[in-house]
Amino acid sequence: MKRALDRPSEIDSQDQTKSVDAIDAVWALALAGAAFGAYLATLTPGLAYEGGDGPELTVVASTLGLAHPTGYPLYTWLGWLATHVVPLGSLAWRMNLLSATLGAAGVGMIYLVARRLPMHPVPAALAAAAYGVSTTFWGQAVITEVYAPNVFALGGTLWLALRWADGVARDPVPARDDRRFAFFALAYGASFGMHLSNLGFAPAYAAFALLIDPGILRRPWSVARAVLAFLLGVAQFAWLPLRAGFNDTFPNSAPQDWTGLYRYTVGTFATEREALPIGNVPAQFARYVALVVDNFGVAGLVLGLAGMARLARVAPRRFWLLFLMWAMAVGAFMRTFLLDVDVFFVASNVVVALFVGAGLDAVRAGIVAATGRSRRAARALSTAAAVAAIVVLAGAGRASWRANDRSTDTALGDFYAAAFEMVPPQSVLVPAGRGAFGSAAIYWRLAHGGRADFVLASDRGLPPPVDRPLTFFAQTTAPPGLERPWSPRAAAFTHVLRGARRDLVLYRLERDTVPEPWPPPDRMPGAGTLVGGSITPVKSVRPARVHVRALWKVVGEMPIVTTRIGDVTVEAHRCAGAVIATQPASRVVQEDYDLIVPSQLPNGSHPVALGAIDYQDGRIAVRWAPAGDAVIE
Amino acid sequence: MSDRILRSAAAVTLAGLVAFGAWAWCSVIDRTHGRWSPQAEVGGGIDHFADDTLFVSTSTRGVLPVVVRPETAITNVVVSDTVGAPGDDTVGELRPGRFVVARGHPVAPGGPLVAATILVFGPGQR
Repeated sequence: MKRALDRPSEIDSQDQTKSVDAIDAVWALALAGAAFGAYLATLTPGLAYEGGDGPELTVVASTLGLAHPTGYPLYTWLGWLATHVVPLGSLAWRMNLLSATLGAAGVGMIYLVARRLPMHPVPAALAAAAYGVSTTFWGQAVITEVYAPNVFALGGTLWLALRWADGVARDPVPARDDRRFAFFALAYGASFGMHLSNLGFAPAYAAFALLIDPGILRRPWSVARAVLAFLLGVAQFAWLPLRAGFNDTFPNSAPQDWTGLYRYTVGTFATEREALPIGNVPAQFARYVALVVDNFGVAGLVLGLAGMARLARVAPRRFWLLFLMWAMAVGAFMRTFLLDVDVFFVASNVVVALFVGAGLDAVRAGIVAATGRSRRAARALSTAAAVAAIVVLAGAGRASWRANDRSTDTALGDFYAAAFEMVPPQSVLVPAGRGAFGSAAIYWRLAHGGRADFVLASDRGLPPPVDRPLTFFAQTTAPPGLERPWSPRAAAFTHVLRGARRDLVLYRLERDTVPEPWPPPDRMPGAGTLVGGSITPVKSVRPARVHVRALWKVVGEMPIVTTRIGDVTVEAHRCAGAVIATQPASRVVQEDYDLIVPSQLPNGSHPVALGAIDYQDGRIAVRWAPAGDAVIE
Repeated sequence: MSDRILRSAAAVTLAGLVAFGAWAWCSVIDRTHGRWSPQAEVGGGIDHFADDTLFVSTSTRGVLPVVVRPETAITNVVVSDTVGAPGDDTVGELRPGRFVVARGHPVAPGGPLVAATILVFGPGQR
């Protein structure tokens, strides 16, 4: 029975066949350690604002609940471990740490995978490093999200597949290889619990298996064992119906029966698939190229193409595995409506990084070929090329560090701490969004012993008793978005608290009041001039607050006004106060609200300035006026 | 399957990929001006002016609480960071060829998305 295998032709035989040895393990650990250090230094200190799912995933993991579709059971369990085993920091920080840890481990896995393509250690390390500093991945490794941990799952699965293939090439005993194949199948099925999009790689793995060992089809017990192992990995999704009753706020059909389970998993986002017309494909592809350049640079794009050609020549079966994985992801993107486009490619960018590594390996091989028998010249040129690549990567890493440093991002925690202090007893707090996107408030109550003397509207879908004269508070970007069957009708929205993000605003809903028409978002803002106001300290202990009273002379539509504390511009919003005087060409508008002083500011007194943004003559400028001081102790 | 067949298929596939990529790239370039052409109107109640200066009011870097249709390219934009509030970060580096892509979440599946908060200004235009 013939067993097919890759026969790399240009890489020395030692590289072709040797298994991962101790040196490779050390390299992988070193890469993972460096990545972990960088991610830890830029880790979000608490609730992650970026990526709306973070608070929900934290709540779900720490309580062994059910996450939004597609459920993410394995991630949930790992998150539970992280939140219960790690003795440091808040629950949110521990979940962020899980992303950093598994993301860094994923970087190490990329090195090990590259070594089995096969690839020289230096290009393999550079490929892993290029992925580790790519901006999209770094951004995901410092927040609570599933994408960075999934890279570890993907890398591990790939490594197991390649290890099996190496075994087939080396080992004449099919039984031993078939056990490895079953282990790969188990890991692949388990990886669905990190992100179900891994299912899209199935055709690539199936083709690879048949290209490496077509004879496996004649060993039905081996196939059956692999299928059973795969199903064992997938069996984790039984968690969904078991926990279907836990989260009843997410607007999806609960996975309580087969139909619900299908809709919750592979059937989710069905409307987004093939949502774009076929004529949009060129633009989509160009968008994808732009995203690759964002993460790997033009040099990475060129090296990636060269790496594809290199791999196709020296290891065609491995090429087809990676190429089909890449093609499945990019092909799915061509007609899919996606809001979070960049993270869609976090997994497939692993393949791109491997192609980049193969491109670097092609450069190394080219140098060896060009220098003939002169080992010294080959070594010098190879070293120069590696140093050049390291310099480029260092620059990319520096830029990525700046872009993804979340170590001072306390906006979400500051806001909920202040909101929980401000909301009076027997009122109703309506967090922004439902389900996954209304979970920050639930987290705050859960993790910080938050008060229970008011109703949290999204807390397990508890319906507020609308007949009672409750005071409603809402955190929302645009009040018209607050359309709930039980919400007060004809309510006016008055902002009472503003945080450091545009949607971290707490409104008090004035019942039985005809609301002012909300300005359409596409209306050009008018001009504003600060004609009076004051800054009054409310609380100086973090999260500190000041009360802002501002009188704006407004010409035209409501202007966009902004606030600066010290050197930090903390927020900007469309002026939304009460009109207290009307003149022929202008109005005077009074705003009253509490403003959160960002916790990352140092202790001491900080000057507060209010400003109106001026768009005259096509330029954007801010006219600042000093208004008082904010104090942090 | 032999290595020769696999390599040949790979060569054909890669040649096709490069040709397709070049065609796709050229098809979305305004050949007259060498710039990207908008593929569609910017959606979500966004004012789309002369594509010269972009003021983005976002919830966080790269995450726009706004619908910019995925087929939309904004051409030749220069990001003004005059307003550098944490809640008003720019969408990274915008430049010709880079699409402004919305990240946001609908209130319900298939439902409307959150309000538009992106304003595009041109010199002398309001």
